[in-house]
Amino acid sequence: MMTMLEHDAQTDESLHESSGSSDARLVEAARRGDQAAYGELVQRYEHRLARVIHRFVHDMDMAEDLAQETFLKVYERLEQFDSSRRFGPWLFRIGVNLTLDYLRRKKRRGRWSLFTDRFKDKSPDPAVADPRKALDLQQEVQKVLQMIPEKYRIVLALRDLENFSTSEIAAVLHRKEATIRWRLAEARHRFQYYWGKRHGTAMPENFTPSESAESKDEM
Amino acid sequence: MKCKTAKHQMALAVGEDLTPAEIQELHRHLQDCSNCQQTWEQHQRGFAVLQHSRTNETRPKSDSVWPTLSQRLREHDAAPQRGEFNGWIAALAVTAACVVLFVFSFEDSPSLALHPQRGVSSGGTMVTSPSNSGQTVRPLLRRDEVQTMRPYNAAPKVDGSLRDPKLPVTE
Repeated sequence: MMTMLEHDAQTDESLHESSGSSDARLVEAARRGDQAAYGELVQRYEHRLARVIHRFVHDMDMAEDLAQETFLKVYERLEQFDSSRRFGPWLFRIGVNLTLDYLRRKKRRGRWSLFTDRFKDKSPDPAVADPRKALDLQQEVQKVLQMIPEKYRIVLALRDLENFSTSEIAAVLHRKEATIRWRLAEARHRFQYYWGKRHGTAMPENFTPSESAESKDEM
Repeated sequence: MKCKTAKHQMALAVGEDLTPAEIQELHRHLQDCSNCQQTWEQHQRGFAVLQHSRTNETRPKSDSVWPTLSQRLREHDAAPQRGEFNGWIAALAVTAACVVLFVFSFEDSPSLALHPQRGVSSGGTMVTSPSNSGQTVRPLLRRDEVQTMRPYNAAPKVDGSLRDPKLPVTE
């Protein structure tokens, strides 16, 4: 599938429906077999969904494939959708879960390849800055983000990079908003900690990411 | 406000994720705590890095997935759907099978339900079910059958007559 690069204007989209027919009306029409209505829903959300997925998979072709799979899955499950709720968070929840499942499968395959490709070069420790390579800001931010545990990273990416509100993230991840706020604070702490560690800047005092934080946020 | 709470609140405040009341409370703490002021500045720098990376980001823009997806949806709709499990059909099938088994089992044993008059033959040995005594009386053997019956320890029938079980076995 063809992709093109372009500077993306920072749109302030939200998961609320835009102008035109409401999501609920389009969902109802799609349930009755109106494919054009479903097409309108797809075109309304596809770019943002692909961007969010791309945040996690870093491969636009794969992001598009996963977005397509998400829309297919959503189409199959339209009957299960609770019309009293918003369509956007439901769609993104399915998309994010599908992406995380894909990443977990990929990670498992990666673990397996550790045993099969025994003599492969060891990848450098991301916690140690590599003086030979000057990475640009995005790559550097990306590396730091990868050091943050998944459940915090998702919240950070959705809030600070994709501009979702905490209530939207709560709806997408099916967690209480208080949990999301806790994870967001923890994620920002961790980002700053690892960023400071890599760049030799001062770190927040008395802060080291601890495993105890992992259990605290299951509210 | 304790410093620990303030640090948590700072991480939220930096992205404008606090209520005005919470911001005011944090502000009051920051005015009195130099350590937290330092942390606040670091948080602001860290958040600025994220925002800077976001605004200067070169994002791949995808084509619409709809043309391919609509084709897949048409194929999906055209494909014969696997029928859902219908419990009623299964229940009916099981009931019908039970009825057939019931009918055939009684056809094979006519002495039971189909010929109840055999159960009241005079002088017969009866077996009565304890659970429904007096209702289903099943004849096991008639008197003449009982009389010709071999005792349990009788020797095998050799010449058509019964051997007296009290006699010693000489063979």
